[in-house]
Amino acid sequence: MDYDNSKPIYLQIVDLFYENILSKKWREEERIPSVREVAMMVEVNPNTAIRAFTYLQEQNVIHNARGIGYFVSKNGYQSVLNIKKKEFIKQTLPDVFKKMGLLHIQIEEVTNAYQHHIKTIDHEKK
Amino acid sequence: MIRIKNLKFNYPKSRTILEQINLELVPGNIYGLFGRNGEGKSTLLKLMCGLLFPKAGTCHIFDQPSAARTVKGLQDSFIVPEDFELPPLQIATYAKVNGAFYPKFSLEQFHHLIREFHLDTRNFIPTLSFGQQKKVLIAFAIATNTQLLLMDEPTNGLDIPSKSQFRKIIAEAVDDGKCIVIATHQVRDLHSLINHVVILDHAQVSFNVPLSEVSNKLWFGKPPQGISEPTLYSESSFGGKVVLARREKNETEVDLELLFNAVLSRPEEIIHILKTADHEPAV
Amino acid sequence: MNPQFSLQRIGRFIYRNLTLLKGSITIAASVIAILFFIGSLIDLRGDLRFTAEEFVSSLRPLFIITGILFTFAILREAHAKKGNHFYFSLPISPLERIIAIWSTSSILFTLVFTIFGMLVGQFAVAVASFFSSVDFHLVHPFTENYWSLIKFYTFIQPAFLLGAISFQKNRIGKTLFLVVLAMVGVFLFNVILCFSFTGGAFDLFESDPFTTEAFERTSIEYSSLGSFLFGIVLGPVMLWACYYKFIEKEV
Repeated sequence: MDYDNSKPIYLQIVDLFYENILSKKWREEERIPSVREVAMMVEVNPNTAIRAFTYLQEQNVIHNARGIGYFVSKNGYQSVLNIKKKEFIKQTLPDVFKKMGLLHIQIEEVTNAYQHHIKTIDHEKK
Repeated sequence: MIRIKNLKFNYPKSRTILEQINLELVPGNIYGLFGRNGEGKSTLLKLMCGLLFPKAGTCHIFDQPSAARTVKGLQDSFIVPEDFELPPLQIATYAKVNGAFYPKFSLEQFHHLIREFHLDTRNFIPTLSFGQQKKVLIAFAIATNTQLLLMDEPTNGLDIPSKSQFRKIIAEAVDDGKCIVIATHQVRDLHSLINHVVILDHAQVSFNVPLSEVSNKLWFGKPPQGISEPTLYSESSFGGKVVLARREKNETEVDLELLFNAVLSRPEEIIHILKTADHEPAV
Repeated sequence: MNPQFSLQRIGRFIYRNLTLLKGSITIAASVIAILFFIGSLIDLRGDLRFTAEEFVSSLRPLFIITGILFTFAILREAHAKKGNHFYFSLPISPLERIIAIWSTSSILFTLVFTIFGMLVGQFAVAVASFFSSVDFHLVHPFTENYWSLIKFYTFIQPAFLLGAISFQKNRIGKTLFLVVLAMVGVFLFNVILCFSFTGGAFDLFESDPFTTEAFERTSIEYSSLGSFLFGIVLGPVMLWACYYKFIEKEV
């Protein structure tokens, strides 16, 4: 795992979980690796991994079945989607808007770029 | 697990290295022990496991003076020095004759670790490079399953993939009952493992704080624009990174190098911020 | 069970030390075997017999020298700058250490060396009986001289053990120097003793002016207590001192 220097490691682990859930690598109600396995995988102190697990539990993304392990929650995918959407609107977009202002980019240019992007993807799919 | 009170130490005919050390280490943590060259990190590790004796004050391990080197204490502690020599034996023989002394030693685990490090237990130790020998010692140290594990610059001499291996192995080995102390300058190699920082400066423990507390109270990174608050510490060589009081800002990952330099140059201010309770406004 | 004392740990420590010295022991054993084999053959040339007396006298120098070298070798690890961390943090108490080291370098060494010598001597006799007019006969060392050799080694060896643990450098040289110094001291003590008892009859030494001889005579004539004390000082007291050295040793 490549660490982003500014974000706390536990939140970076959380992001990794989100990615796995959004990409359906981990499906709902499926078992996920244990704290120790995650700690080993990302080479961190197990305490840090525990913090990530606790955070994800609070977000209702995962749950703990006592004695068995951790599972992606029933509505885990939807929860992550909501969280990430909110993050995109609240954090990513303002950054983009700020840059657009600095570089004098009009919203039409962005729309065009977006249309083009969609086309290329469709093309590639064919 | 380790209780050090007013410990003083100097080598014969030389200046005092450790003046007034007070330190308590508890299980469940990986301590990072930092300090400038010659600040006595290695010396402190040796004092902890009883290889050196305090000149004044006390050092207790499992409630026994560490200098007594009781069998029980030694069975539950292991030190990996920075520089060492292993006997001219096969790796398997080495583990067999020495592992027998450690009640919780697991030969199976040792063989597993040796394989993880891409070595073979049939290797003859003197034919291995220093880095490979270090892997043998680290593997042995972990396989002893001692409660206390002291390591002096464990990643020195390890190649890049092995450093990652090492982190995996330590992450796997640590549990609630274990206390690992790593003395190092290689902060980047190990910062994801350490969860408690101890800094030695001017022959004393000048900083002894869990990282969770540090990241709770301090903010690390490039100065956010439009915020005019006093910087606690700044450094141009880190791309203009600064240490600020965190207050309402988002939590950031602790930059250990920056923290170390900040503590060395402005210890009082840093410690003052850390001592400020959450609800009080930081001055 | 006392956690500070376990026979099993002593056994493991002996096994460990011998394993570590396996290379040196093998080389030493081969050299000794060849030397002793040649010595035995030379001895057989004379009277075609290898008597117990002859056996002991050719064994003696090898026995003492090897024993002392072995004593130093077994403690080499304690002074290895880069290896003694491990040695001193190994979970074994000082008492167990000293018992293990002493019994290896004294009892075990004597036993193994004697048996080894007998085997080599016997082999020499067998070879000689095959190629020459020597009649095959059994070799054994059990004579008065043999027991006094063992007694001598047993009492002198702890002094070398102490030297081996005490000194960092030139351990053999320094220890030998001190032992010689101690012997000179004993000699002078005996001279004074003789002088005071005989009123200056120095001719006692004229025929045979050697320390040990003088010591024997004095001890026979004046002091069995003295020799007892001498033995005590060389043996148990030295071991006791070693025990404290182990407790106090820092790396």
